[in-house]
Amino acid sequence: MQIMVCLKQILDPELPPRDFRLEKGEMTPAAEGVPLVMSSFDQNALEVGLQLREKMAGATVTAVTVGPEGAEDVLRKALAVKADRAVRVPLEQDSKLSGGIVAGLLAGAARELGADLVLCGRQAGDWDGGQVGLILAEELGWPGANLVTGIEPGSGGLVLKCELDEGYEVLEGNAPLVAVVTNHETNVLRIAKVKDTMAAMRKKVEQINVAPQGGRLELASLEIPVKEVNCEIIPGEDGVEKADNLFKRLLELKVL
Amino acid sequence: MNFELDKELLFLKEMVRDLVQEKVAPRAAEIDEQDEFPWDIKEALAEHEILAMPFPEEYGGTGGKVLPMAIAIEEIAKVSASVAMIPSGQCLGSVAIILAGTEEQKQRFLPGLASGEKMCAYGLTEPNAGSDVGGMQSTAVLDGDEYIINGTKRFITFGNIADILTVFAKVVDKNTGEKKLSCFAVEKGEGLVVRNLEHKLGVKGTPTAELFFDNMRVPKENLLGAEGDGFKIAMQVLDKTRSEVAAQAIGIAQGALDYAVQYARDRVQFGSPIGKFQAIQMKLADMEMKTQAARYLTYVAADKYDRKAHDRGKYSAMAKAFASDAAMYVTTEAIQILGGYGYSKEYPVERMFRDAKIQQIYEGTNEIQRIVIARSLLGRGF
Repeated sequence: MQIMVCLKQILDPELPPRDFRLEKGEMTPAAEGVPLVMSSFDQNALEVGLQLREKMAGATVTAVTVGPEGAEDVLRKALAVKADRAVRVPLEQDSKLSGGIVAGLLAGAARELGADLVLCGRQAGDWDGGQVGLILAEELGWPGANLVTGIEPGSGGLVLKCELDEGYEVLEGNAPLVAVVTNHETNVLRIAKVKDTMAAMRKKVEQINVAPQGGRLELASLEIPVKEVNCEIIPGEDGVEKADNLFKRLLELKVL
Repeated sequence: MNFELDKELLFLKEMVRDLVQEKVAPRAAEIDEQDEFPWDIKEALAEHEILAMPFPEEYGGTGGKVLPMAIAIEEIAKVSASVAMIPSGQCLGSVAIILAGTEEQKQRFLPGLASGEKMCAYGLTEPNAGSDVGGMQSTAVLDGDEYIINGTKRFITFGNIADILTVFAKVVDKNTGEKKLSCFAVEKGEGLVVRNLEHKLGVKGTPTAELFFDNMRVPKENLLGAEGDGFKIAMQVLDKTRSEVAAQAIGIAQGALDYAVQYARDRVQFGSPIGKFQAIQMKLADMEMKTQAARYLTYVAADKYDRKAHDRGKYSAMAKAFASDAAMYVTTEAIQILGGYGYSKEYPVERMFRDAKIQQIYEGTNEIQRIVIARSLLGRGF
C-alpha cells in the first residue's frame, strides 16, 4: 500500500495580528521573518497515514507538497516523524492558486508515484478553501471520503471512521481512494525524536514535475479589512422607550 | 562568517519546542509547586532522545555534541529550568565516563544512561569542599580488587534518584600516606546512605542529596582514568558542562523576557500600555541586549568545545558566568516590570527569578569562573 499524504506549508496561524503584513498591491502576505508551519489538518492526515502504515506490513508513506524550494521544510518535518519518502512538486507561487489547480498537480504526483491511498487535510489553515481533497478524488476518478478521523485495515479493504455532526459513521472501501482528514484526539501528529530530526535534514527530497492545468481563478485584489466599531447608547427610561428609540435610530441609519 | 544556527539545529530547536509545549509547559508551575521529581517528563525526555544527547552514537546516544545539547536545554529552560536540569544532570554525571572511561567501562555504563533507563549524578562537592575541590576529604583505599570509599558528598543533584554516580575521592597509599584525587563510577549499593536535602530556593523538583560513604566497596575496574587523574577529570567535565548551565540561564532569561514583553504590551496604566513608557522600554532593551549577548557567547563556547579549540575552557567559563548573571538581571527586571503581579506566584517570572539564582552558584560559582578567565589572561602563576 502506497500512502501519499498531501502537506501544505502556511504562515503560522498563531501569528499575532501585528506581525501579519500585507503590502499594498501584493497578492500574498509577507512571509519573511515569520514562522511557516505545516497546515494543521495536514498534520492530522500525516498521523493517520503513519498509524495506518504501522498496521499494514509493507505500506509506505510518501509526503508530497506543491510549492517553492522553501516549502521543503514541511517535508522534512514529515521525514522527521519517519515518512518514507518526500516529494516536492515545484511551483513558484506568486498568489493564491485555486483548489482545482493544486488538486491537478497533486493528482499528477499521485499517478507518478503509483499511490493507492491519498490523504489530505480537510482545509488549509491559511485560505480555508477546503476544496483540494475532493477535487483531487474527482481528478483521479477515485472515491473520496470526507471528514475522516482514522483508517484501519479491514478484512476486505480499508475501514474509515468519519465524523458527523453528532457521532460518526464507518465506511468500508478499497484502494485506490482519497481520504480527507479532520482533526481528532487520536490523530494529533506525533513529536519527532532527536536522531530522526537531525537525520531528516540529510535525507533526499525528490521532485516530480507536473504542468499546472485547468482554469485558473485569478486573485484580483487582497487587503486586510479595516474594521470600524462605533458605539452608541440608545437613551430611554424603560425598555419600551429604548426599543422605540432604537427602532427610530435604525430607520435613520437605513438599517431597517 | 555566519552567526546563524544552521538548518539542522533550527529544526532541532523547533522539535524540542514542540515537545516542551506539549509535555512540559502544562506541568511547569505544578513541578515548582509540588517540588517532586517529574518522572513522567523524564520518560518523555528519554522517549524523544533528549536524554541521549550527551552520548556518542556508538553507545546509543545522538552524538554527544555540546551545541545541539545547549540548544535543546535552552528551549526547555524557557519554560522550566527544573526540567532542563534533567538532561543537564544526566550529562554532568556521565561526562567523566565518556572522557576518561575505558571501552569496557563505556560499554558497561553508557547505553543504559543514553536510553534513560538509568540516571546518573556527579559527586564532587563536599560539606567542606565546594569551590576548593582540592580540599576534598573523601578517601579511597585499595584493598585487594576493591577500593573502600569513605566520606560525605553534599548538594548532589539527583543523588537520590541516580543509579550511577561519578564520585571523586582521594586514593590513599597505605604505605606512604600519599593522596591522589581520583574519580570512580559507583553503582549504588551497600555502604552508601543517601539523604535528601530539600527546601531549596528554586529549581524545585530536582532532588538534591547528601551521600554518606561508609566503607563502601567499589570494584577496582570502576576507577575512571588513573589514580591521581581526578582533578583533571573534574575540570574537563566542567569545561564541557558549563556551556549547558549557560544555556539553562539563557532559557530562563528568554522565558522571563518574553513574558515581560507580552505584559508591557497588554498592561495599561495612565491610559496607555506600559510598553509605551520609556522607563519600561529601557528595561526591555537592556534585558534583550544581555540575553542576546549571553546567547551568542554560549553558542561560541559550545561550538569551541565541539571543535576542541584550545581556549574552550575559558569560553565556557565566560559563557556560564555572563549568562547566569544576565539571567539574574533579566528575571529581576521582569519582576519589576510586572510589579506586584511579578512578585506573585500567579505569574511565572518569580519562579524564573528563583531558578536563575542557582545558575550563578552551581558547577563552579561565578567568582571561580572569573578566576579561570583572569588566569587565562594573566598566565600561570596568578
